[in-house]
Amino acid sequence: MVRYIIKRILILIPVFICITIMLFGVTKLMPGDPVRAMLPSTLKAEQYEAAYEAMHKKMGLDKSLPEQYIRWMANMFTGEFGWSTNYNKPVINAVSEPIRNTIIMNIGVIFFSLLIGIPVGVVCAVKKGGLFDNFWQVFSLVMWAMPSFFLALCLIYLFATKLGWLPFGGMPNTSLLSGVELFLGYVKHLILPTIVLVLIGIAGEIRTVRVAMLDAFNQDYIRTARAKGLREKVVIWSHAMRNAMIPISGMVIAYIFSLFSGSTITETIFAWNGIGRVLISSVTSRDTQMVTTMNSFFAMLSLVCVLIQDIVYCIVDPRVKLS
Amino acid sequence: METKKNTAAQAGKSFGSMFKRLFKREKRSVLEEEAIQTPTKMVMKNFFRNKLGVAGLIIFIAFLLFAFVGSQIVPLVETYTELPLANVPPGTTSLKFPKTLNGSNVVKIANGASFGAALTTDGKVEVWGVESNIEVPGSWEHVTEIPEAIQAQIESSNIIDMVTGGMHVLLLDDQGNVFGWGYYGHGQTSIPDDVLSRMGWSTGIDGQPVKAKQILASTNWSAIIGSDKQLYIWGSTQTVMNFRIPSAVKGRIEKGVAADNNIALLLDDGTVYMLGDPSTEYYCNVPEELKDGSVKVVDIECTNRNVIALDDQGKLWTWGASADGLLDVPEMNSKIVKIVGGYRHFTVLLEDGSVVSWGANELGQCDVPEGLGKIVDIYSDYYQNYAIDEAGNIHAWGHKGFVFGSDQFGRDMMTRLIHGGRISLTVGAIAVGISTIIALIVGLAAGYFGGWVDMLLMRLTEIFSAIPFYPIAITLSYAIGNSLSQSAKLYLIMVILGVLGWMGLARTVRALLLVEREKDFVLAARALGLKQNKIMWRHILPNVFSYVIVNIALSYSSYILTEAGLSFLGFGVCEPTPSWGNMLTSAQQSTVVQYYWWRWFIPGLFVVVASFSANLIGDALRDAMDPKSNER
Repeated sequence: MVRYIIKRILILIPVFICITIMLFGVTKLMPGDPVRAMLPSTLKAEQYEAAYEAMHKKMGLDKSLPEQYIRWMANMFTGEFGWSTNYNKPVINAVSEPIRNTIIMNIGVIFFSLLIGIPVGVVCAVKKGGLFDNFWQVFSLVMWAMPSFFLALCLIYLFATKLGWLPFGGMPNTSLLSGVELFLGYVKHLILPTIVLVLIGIAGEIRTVRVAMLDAFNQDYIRTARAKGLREKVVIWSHAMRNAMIPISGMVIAYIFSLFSGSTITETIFAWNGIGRVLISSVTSRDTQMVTTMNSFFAMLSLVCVLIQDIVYCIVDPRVKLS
Repeated sequence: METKKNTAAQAGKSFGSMFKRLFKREKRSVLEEEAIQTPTKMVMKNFFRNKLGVAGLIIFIAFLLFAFVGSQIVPLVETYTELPLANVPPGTTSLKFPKTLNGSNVVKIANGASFGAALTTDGKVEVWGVESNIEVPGSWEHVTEIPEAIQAQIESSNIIDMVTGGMHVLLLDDQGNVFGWGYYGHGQTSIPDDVLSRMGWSTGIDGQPVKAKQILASTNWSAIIGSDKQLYIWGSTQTVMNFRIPSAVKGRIEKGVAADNNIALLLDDGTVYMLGDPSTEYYCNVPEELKDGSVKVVDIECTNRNVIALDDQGKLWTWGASADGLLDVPEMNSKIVKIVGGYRHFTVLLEDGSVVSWGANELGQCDVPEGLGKIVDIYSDYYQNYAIDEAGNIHAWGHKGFVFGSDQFGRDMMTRLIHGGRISLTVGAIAVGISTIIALIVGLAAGYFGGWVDMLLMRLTEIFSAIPFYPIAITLSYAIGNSLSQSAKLYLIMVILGVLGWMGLARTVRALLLVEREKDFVLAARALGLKQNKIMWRHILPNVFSYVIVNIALSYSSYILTEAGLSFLGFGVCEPTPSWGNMLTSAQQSTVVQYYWWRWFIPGLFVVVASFSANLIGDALRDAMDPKSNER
């Protein structure tokens, strides 16, 4: 097992290098002069000239591209992510709060979507063709084609403007509120985004779980288990579920990681100051180093996701190790 | 033979023929016993048996017709705007005046950008049409519903004149009282106290206290011309600041006509004087003859950027912007009786009862209907025209209203939905094409050659899978798109969507290829001595392609959503080129979500239904191609 994981990590290293080269290339394509953005605009012309030269050199832009890349990578590994011109503080400080906000938003989404999605998918598979199954089939078909922004806008229109129960969007005021009030503030602001992401999330989950369970039910050992006279509960939750876990676990891990890079639209609509929204404002304000750092963060995240998937596969399906 | 078989099959349904067939068997060859279908035929048959799939196909074809045929019929001028019609909700009642007005009981008809109002001989006021520009509460009330207080005032007084601004109505009674309703964001609907007190300082030419003689209304301000021949104006200070009324015209004003930022004044000596925004110089260069008194003007009328004056010889003078051909007065074969001006067109009534109209015609303002009969009076403002014939019947033409409303620039949502659909559906289709081609090349090469090629291509797939889609798409679209032309940006979006979306299919194609290669029928083919290439193309690939086709339909559905998402964020198709996604961009403002529901709900619904129908087609195709999947 350990050998298998080490092998996977070794394979991921060249992948990681290639991705970072691509990200570096994208950064170089960004419009705007990063040196100029770093300099204060109050400098006089001749001072500016000298300061520009100095900063140009300090940022290593006079070196060749490969050298710049190596320098950038070295900086990344030592935790030196550069300076955010948009927030006017080090990138590492500017990024930490949005990351925290995104995590806060996604904890509830992950909890509720798994709590609803997996049991519903299993029940749909067990009662295939019934009313319950048909309802959720139609539901997931509709939600599959539903863009998150449209669902979000409809919910905002209904609950925020027509009924006025919930806020339009935004964040609770962390400096004014504290304790229980702050918690309630978070809950109030998070209800709508959570509903949107959960509804869209469970559509995919129900589909995957249902198909995985149906596949498992068609296996011979299920017939054997039933023939042995095992209770249906045991057959479903122990025999079938155990085998359906392989695709389900892969789906769950991919889903959790996709939430972090994929909730850009939801965060924008609900004005939730998470990484997706900050990324957009960084891109439009040409905050190069911020954008690069966040993109590398997202890429790292998806590589970690792949790795965790491999490890989990390895745990739930011992056959993987052999091949 | 063929016909025989068919009749037999038909007859086979009844019991009698079954009996007959038992004893009198037709001779059939071995193959005919069970009808053999080609795989394509079978797939088609299975597909059309699936009701959901057929429904999806019908909806999808309807969308294709709407977008591609529609865009051939309805032209789109990308830079076209019509600001007075901004944010008009769906509705086509702008010309639907109450039929009770027919029969010579109308004193005056006036209309705003998308509504109309009529003053009747028995002193009533009727209002019809669509609400234009719903503003934030506190600055606006329904213009098409007369408030109760105003209704009471109308009933208790004798209304002699009525004018409409873009979004409000103003009434004048015989006591000189002025009142109104509608958009009151700048206090347009009632005379403010400072104006009243200024009127109190002056006396009318008859020696009596000043009363209002004529009322004027524009979108953001209102004005009266008093019995002292002075102009009093109130409303939006931004433009009013420019209305410095010089002493030269004080006490000499006979008539005024209002545009958005200007007033044209007809003075009592027959000369014309322009007030208002000096930046609109094209508006202010009045012909010299009209200024020095050598020509006596009897009537003036204006559009938003042009003025027309009629002198006592019956000659027309025009000046202002040359756009819309408003300066080119058409030939008239009779004497002019009345001139009326809309926002961008003029309509003229001639002595012989015919009507001539010229100017901008995007909304049909100048399409005078045929066979009007003898017209005795005409009214027009903004985009509608009303003509009254000898029998007192009203004929209306011009802008009817928008089926799906209008956006913040007054553009018809319907037109933009049609052309946006064309763009959205095309972008999705080409993106699917790009991603499918890349996936096929990578997947087939990896599966076919194996070895180091496989290793390399699979690592490439892994690299691309690790790229987070939205962040990179946003960054790339901004980084590259910034320096591109409008159409090149469109291609960029297609390429970004295609290049970032092929990995799943490539993996599946490779896996399918590996699985199919090991199957028995391949072994059989090899045993028959077929060449490797032939086995590949004739026996293995068709099995892979059925999966690819299903994948095309399903990923098309998701590409429509992705394009809409990217455009919604402002990183997809850019304005002024419409797409369903970028029509939704303005829904990022809460006022749009709150007050202009049609601007986000309708394009959003189009995206959902189009994507849903493509999805249904994909699902039905999968079921049709792989009967085993029905079990799921």
